Amino acid sequence: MYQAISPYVPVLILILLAVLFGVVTLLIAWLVRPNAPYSEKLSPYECGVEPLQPGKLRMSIRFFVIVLLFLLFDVEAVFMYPWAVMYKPLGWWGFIEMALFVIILFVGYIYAWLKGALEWE
Amino acid sequence: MIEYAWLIPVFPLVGMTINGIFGIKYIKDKAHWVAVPALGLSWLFSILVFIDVLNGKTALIELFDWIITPDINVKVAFWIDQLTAVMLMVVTTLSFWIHVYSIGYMGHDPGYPRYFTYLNMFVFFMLILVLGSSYLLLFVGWEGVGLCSYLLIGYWYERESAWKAGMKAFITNRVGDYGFILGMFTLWYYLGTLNFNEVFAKAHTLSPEIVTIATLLLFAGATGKSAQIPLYVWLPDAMEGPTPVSALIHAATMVTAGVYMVARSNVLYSMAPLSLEVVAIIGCLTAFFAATIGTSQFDLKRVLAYSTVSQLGYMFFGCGVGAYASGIFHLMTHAFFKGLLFLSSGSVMHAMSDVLDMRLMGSLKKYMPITSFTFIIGGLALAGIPPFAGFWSKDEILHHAFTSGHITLWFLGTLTAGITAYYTFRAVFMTFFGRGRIPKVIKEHLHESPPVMTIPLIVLSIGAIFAGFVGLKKGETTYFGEFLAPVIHVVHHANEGHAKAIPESMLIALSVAVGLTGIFIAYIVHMKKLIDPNEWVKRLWFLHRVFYRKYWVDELYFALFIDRTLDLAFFSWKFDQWIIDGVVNGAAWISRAFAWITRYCTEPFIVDGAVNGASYVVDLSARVLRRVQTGLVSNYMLFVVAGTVCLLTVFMFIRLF
Amino acid sequence: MSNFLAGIQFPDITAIIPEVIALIIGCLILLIDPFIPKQKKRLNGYIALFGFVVLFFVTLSYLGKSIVTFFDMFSVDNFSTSMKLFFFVANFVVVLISLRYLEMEDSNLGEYYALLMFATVGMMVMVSSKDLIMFYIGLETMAIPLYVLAGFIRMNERSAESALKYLLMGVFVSGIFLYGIALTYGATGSTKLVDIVRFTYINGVNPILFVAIILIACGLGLEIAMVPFHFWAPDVYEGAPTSVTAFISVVPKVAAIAALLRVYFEGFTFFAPYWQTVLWLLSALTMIIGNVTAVVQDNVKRMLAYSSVAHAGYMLMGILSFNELGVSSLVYYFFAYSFMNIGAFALVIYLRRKNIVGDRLEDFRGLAQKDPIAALVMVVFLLSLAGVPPTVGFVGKFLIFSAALKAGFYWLLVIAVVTSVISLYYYFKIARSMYLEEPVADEPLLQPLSVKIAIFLLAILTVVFGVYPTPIMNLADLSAKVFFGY
Repeated sequence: MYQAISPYVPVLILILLAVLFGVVTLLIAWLVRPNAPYSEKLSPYECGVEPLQPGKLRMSIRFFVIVLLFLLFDVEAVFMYPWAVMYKPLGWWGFIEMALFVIILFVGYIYAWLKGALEWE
Repeated sequence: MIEYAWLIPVFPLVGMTINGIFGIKYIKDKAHWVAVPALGLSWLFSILVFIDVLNGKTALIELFDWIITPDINVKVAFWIDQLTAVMLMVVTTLSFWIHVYSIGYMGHDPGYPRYFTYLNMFVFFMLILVLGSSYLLLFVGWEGVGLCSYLLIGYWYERESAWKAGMKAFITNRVGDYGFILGMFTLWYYLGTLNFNEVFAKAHTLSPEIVTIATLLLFAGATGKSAQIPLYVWLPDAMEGPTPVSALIHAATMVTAGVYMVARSNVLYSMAPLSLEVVAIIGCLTAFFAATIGTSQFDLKRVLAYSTVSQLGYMFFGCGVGAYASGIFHLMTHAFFKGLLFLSSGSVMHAMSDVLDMRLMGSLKKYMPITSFTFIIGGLALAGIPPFAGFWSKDEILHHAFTSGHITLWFLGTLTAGITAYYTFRAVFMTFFGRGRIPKVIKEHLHESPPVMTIPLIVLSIGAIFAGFVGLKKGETTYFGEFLAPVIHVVHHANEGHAKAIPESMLIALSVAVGLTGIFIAYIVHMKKLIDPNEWVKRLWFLHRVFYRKYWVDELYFALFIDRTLDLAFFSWKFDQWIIDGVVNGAAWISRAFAWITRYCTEPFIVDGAVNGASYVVDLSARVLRRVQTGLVSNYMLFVVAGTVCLLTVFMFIRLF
Repeated sequence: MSNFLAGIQFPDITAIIPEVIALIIGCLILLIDPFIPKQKKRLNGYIALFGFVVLFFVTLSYLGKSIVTFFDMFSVDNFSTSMKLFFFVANFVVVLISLRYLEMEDSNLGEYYALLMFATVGMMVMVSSKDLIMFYIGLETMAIPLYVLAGFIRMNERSAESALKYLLMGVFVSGIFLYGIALTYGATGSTKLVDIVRFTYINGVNPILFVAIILIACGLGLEIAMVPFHFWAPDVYEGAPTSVTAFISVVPKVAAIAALLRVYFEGFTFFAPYWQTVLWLLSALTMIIGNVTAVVQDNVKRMLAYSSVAHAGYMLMGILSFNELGVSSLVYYFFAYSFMNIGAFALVIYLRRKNIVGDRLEDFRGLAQKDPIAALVMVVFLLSLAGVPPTVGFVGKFLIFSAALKAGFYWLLVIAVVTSVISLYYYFKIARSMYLEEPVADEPLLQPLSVKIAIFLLAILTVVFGVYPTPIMNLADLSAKVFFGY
């Protein structure tokens, strides 16, 4: 048991050191620093231009759906590259596998279509 | 006939099903037309089976496989031998007549079909209990009757006290069952079977320690079901149920299940002298303490309830000194006379518009001749006056206690007999004789009960008079003992010879004398008023208080167990609450925790010194726990990680060392 | 180049026919759903019901067969087959109680049933796999639909909240599971259970695997809802739609336990004493904390959540016994647990009416007067959950306890018996509300027919298989033979 653990002892020491470093730094800073807060100092924009409007912008939810769909079919395409390279050695078996994969995605595509996810309005 | 014995529990099952499904909507107040004939058939079949058993037949009826695996083999099967036959007779006879009685007693109750459904269900499970051929099947009945008892105690659920009593009964019983289950598992672990015949056949292979543990655990179950010290507290409260239920379940049948179980397992108990000793001592002490409590109660049914606890103690006492047959004999006679007493008190209650305080009774003999007559018969039987049933069985137990060398316990038992006679006749005199103290409102419609109630009373009083005669001597043993001999493994005590020095007739005379003395004291105190009971109460205020408050056992249990359990539950709930009530703010947790730690860990040492430090740490942790307004999910994750790390650490340590 | 596939045989496709059928039905529902008008959405539910019946009988024909294919990664044996049968039975009932409930919640969408199907496919893969990666794929295939299902009532904040919590926890914990797999792979050079067991047989125990064993238990512990991974359960159970709660409190839990059983039994066979100790601790904690905390709950769904935590503890006893009786009792317990637990949740659905979720203790008040039969049925479920004979719950507990005893875990047995005594107290709080309190005058009960059918079916199964458990016992014995048959 001990034998197996021993290679990891340096890692353990590293973790301990890291934690200790953080704690010690914070502690020293806390002991040394003067503590005189006032409201502007505590505000998130201590320097720079004052914000004119809330940072949150409203986006149409449709972007989200489109992005999801895009990602999905993009990954499908990515998956096809290695198959294309190995097309010959994989033979019929590979072809059927891939066809199944595409069919399942195709079902998803039809579903998305029928549900109106592809329409903007 | 014996091969049709499986039909006996089927009748109440059918009755219960019909009433349960159609009762409330269609049958309504005709529910007894289903329930009572079903029981009648059961009774008839039981008699036929009993006759077969009298002729020496026994049977094992296998119905179907229940739990069959390579390791466990339990069939749903009925085992009918002499002991079962006796129990069958007791259960079906009492059940039938109490069903009849219920027609009158429950007549105007809105839940009439529900009542009969429960009652039939109870009989069904009780029959499973006595017929079952294995501990597991016995346990099915055991739990089933417990459930029915719960339902019937809480039958008038509008009353808070009723459902509380029901809960108390069920939970106290479950505590006992816990012992029973473990006992069962112990037997199974060492013997690989739970069927009675196999267990008893293989029992000799067990080591004495194992038998002792198993039998003690089983007995723990019996203390719950049969209301023995320390689990007897539920039975007096169980009187909240309808009176016929008290008579059937909490006097005659269900509460005797523990005695039946011990007698059934007599092969095991006889192998474990220590367990037997425990059974005898617990039984005798319960008999004594319950009897003393009985002397101070004013509620008629409660007096009877404590007397039931006390009489059950006698039965265990009998079993404990190795006289299993006497224990069962007392079970049988007790079923008759205690059922009778309860039904009579129910009849009183019926007439008195549900008033049960004996201080508000008196001179009822004038108004209810039949009831008072049957009550007195029951009382004489309970007090152990010959030739009534109780005399024969109680005397046999005391005799066996004496001959087996338990002189101290015998003395206590005899003393208890005297106390029993006293409180029984205290109740008789206060209720039926003397000056009437009945409130006027009640007096106006005081009446004798209808025949449907009085006929069962008369039938049972015949039982209470004559049931004892089966215990007549026949050579070395009795008729009853001889009948049960095939199922009872007799214990031979080493010091039997020594005890024989005092002739049996002396013992009988002594116990009769003690009983009569008890009655006499009750007579002069409560009838003739030669001694003022209140004066006595003042003089012995301490004893009276102890008895009246039932030795404060209820309060003790509450403080010790119930409150503690609730505390634990509340604590673990709060613990979860604390995690749940947060908002998503993981970062704040760390900073705040740090803030508190630095503030409270540094300050105390500077300000108050090291002495107060410890209390601050406790305070700190509590504050931190309260202040932590952490995120739900992040906190859960923290716990997942903490849990994983803890597991890893714990088990790494186990591996390393 | 071309001969790296030479040694590989074409996999036996027949092994996965049930999975394929389930997948096709799921896709079919997705495609049909848009064409069904809003008032007739129930059709989706009927398709799912029909699908589960078909799947049941198709899978039944696999009983007794033993196929190991897909390069030793996928196995059809009696254990996996009976687990699949279990899923179909349980899901059938879940669909039955969902039909009307979804309409009441105004969320009657076809996706519900499709997701249920997909989750089922994941679980079927889980119980059949003999490879850690396959377990992981199954776990995720099961889990992702579950997250969506938990948030299925989109307009309800509680539902959405519970879905998010479930998702975050699930993703987090599956990381732990993956870490366990990675360590196993690092130590043995394979993720296949056969190779792991072979490696440990030849090279002896490797300490890294001790860590892996714990991490795998932790990873599956979330779905099992065992202490200390149970914190999510009450929140999610309370927030999720009740029908989904009924589902996730039973079926995924069972799937995860079955998976854990296979990993430990077939992969880490030689570590048995070690993981027995680990599970001993987990099981004891789970039983104690689950049962004790349930005592103070006022919300029935939360109470049942803690009770299902407690039941997970009992089920773990079945694994850690590591004997034939343990497995067969566990399989029996799965069925028993599904009958009674889905039944109890079905009663909550039964009480769902206008503005009332039916999960507060007050909602059960006086049910005995309003609907005596429903109250009686609930008592049957509660008795069974508490393990009172003659119900399935009793037989299941008895079997599991005897298995633990046979393996020599006396103290665990004592804990189990004590905690099951405690459990009676909180189960009877519901019974007390139903029988011993006056009904509150509020909205009348709707008494939907499909829920009624489901409740009666479950109640009958609860009692019948308690009195005559042989059919399930036979199935359970067959599955136990997979691990101990030789």
